[in-house]
Amino acid sequence: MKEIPYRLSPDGENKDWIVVACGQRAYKDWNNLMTRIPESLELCLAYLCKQPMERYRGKVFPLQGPLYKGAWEFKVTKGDRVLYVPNPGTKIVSVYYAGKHPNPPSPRPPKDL
Amino acid sequence: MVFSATTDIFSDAIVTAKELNRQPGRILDLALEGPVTITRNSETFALMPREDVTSLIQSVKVSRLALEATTIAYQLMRGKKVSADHPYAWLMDFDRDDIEDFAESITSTFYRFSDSPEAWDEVDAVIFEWHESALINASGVLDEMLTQKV
Repeated sequence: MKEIPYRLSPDGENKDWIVVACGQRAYKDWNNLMTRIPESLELCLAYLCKQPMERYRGKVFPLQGPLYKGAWEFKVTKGDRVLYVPNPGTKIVSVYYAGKHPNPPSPRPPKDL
Repeated sequence: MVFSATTDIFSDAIVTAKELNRQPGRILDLALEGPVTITRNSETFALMPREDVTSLIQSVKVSRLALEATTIAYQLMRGKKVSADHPYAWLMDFDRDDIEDFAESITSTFYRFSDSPEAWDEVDAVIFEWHESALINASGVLDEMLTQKV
């Protein structure tokens, strides 16, 4: 059986979806988050394995706007986020970001200034 | 004891404060059937079940929330700007079609849940989800995703 790099969901379990980190950085970030908030991230992982495309009001939802179409957010804690793209064709969830809320560094001026 | 007739204006039973003092139980029973207006000199008070008041307050709150969000959205769609420190300034990160989707989403959620005690939470969640999307959009943390899509 072909090994999946950066796999986050456990091997050998009959899960509906396979969760993988999209690259080494996301894998490292996920593991750092797992060290910091293991219980919350385990719940997140269980959700992603079962129903990554099921909206949960204010906690799990697709990002809006055309730029990141297909990407979803999982609000793990008040200040931590997991951003992922589920592929219904392959049943693979690709995690692109796991960590602190990616707030912009400062208030942004209007675009036309 | 004779209670005053209901009026066309409020459709309430109207009683005086003196009547309320004399027969509180009877008037509280009346309040279970509909709002009761209590008069004292030139002042008027409403008596109704607490859950009805809670429901009214929630309706007002969710209406305000939805109206505020959609008003800003329509202003932006007409080309008006809001200041950078405005609570909805993040909406300017979206284009006109997205803002229209935002307004439509708020409106449809408001109507879908207007009779539900969860109406405020639902409308607030729509705003939260769009706000989060704007923050992530601005942060660039998903740029790697865009690179891989190309």
